[in-house]
Amino acid sequence: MNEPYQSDVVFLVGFALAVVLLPLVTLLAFRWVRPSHPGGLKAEAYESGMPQASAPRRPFHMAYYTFALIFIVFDVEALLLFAIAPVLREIGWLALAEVGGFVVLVAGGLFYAWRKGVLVWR
Amino acid sequence: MTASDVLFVVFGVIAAGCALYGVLTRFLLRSIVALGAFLTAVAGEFYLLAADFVAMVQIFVYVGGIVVLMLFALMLSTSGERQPLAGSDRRGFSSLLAYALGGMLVWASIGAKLPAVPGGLPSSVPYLGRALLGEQLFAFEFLGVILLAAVVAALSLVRSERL
Amino acid sequence: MSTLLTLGEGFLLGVVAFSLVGVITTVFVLLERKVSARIQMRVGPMRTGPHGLLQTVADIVKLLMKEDVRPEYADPVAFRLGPMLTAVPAVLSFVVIPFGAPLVMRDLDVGVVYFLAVPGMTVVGLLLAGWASYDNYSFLGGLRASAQFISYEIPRTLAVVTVVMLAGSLNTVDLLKAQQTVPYILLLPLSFVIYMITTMAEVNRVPFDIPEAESELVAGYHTEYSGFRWSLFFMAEYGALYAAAAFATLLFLGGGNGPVLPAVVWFVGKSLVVVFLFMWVRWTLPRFRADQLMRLAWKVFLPASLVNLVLAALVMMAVGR
Repeated sequence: MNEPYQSDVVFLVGFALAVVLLPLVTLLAFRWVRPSHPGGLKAEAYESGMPQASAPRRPFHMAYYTFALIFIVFDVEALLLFAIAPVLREIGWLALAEVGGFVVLVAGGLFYAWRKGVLVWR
Repeated sequence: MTASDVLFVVFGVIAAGCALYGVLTRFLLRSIVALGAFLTAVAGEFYLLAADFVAMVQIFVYVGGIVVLMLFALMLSTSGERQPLAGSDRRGFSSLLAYALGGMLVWASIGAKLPAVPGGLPSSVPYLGRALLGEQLFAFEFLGVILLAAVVAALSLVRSERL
Repeated sequence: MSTLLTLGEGFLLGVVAFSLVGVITTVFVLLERKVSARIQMRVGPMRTGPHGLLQTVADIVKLLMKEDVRPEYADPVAFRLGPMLTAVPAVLSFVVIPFGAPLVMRDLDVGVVYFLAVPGMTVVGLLLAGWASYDNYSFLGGLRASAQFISYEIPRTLAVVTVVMLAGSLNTVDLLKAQQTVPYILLLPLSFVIYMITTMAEVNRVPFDIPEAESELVAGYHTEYSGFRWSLFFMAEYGALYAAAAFATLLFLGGGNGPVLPAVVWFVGKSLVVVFLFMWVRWTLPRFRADQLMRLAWKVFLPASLVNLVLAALVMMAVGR
């Protein structure tokens, strides 16, 4: 099929394997050097030295979710720009007009979110 | 059986394994993480098929965005349970739908006549860029419109459920 | 057969990269302490080794030997995956960095996108670590860190797009070659500024370090971690810091270009200057509040980077082929 792509993937697989294995090996190797007395106060969550005041994982603000939603849309737009960026130079002024149109649409989305008051934290 | 075929199968098996685990496990958190692993394996497949840019898009948007979104949804909605479990009241209907869709997809892909991967492409990126600004210009601009619509739609959904 | 060779090559370079990040972390922790000390008019660690140079080495030995404490209710899978998912992508991003001339681990055609995409996985690690620790501080820290990361990712990406527009390629080695005549910082100063500031936010450095804010959340998402797992978070942070500095050198400062000295020396030198800049800012400015931070990202930097796109397009046309 396509040799350069294939070998890139093989390389990355080898690389990733090394990067994942090394910390695991380190953790394993020092297992016998480390003390191990689990439980007691150490097992409790740390809240400035006092017992845990409230159960964690209570429902939190919607704001986080909203930002993630908007993020995805802009993420895709940024990537589309990445796809065309390398060839803009050779296509010239026409390309600029096309990109301009796209950027206007993107900005429109941002403007809408802004006006809706969604971009406020808390 | 070339090396690339072997790789393709390996990634495919990993992807299928992660997907199965994600669907079968009780723990929602692990399910989402399994989805992330699945999407990464698929990105690997894309790269093997000379679609290196698409592979990166997969990681950037899906793993770095959609999985994050799902994790936010999980973490912001469970109320203090230690291990959110999967489950729903509509399992009969959902599974019927899933099997039907799955069956259609399998049947369609077995009979399909897909074009061969274009060989010897030095890099997919300029090819992609030129197409988006040239023949596929309408698709490109239309995508912009769709994304704008997506923002508006998403925000109206969120606001109507103001806590 | 050649496949096995490539696999081996990848594995070997993976070991090298991980060790490199380890060394970088060791050096930078000490550098940070010394720089902060001088800025605060004191001397920092002086006792371990000559002038305190062996301080971090001693710290590492200590960390490796510490007990691996795990809170009672922590989800075992997520707890272990968290630090790995932050450290691994940071090291992975080193694959496409050309250390001067074509000294790159792997010349990926989509190198630039790779560099931005892979660390995106870090967010998943942050969330898992914060959640798994079953601790309010950690959870909040993880959420804030993730929200911050994704908010600044877009303006940062858009700043990088402008450089790609000028260079005409997503290949990192091509970016080096394109700056033979003029470094892009002169052509795209606004992009440089945006990139630097958003990167500080991405790496959780002051003034954007709310998720780790020592006076607010104890230690944020890594509160409940000890020993080596904890140091993995720091390898992720300093590794990403150096990678970002190297990338800035590549994008804006002309990489390894420079007279007389070999390209590698120039590249490393310039990247270290950028690192020093990051550290200088950290110990000079107070930190932003969470809401100021988010407002800045969406209402200042995102619009700015969109405007910058248009400006950069004009620059591109003006510069010609």
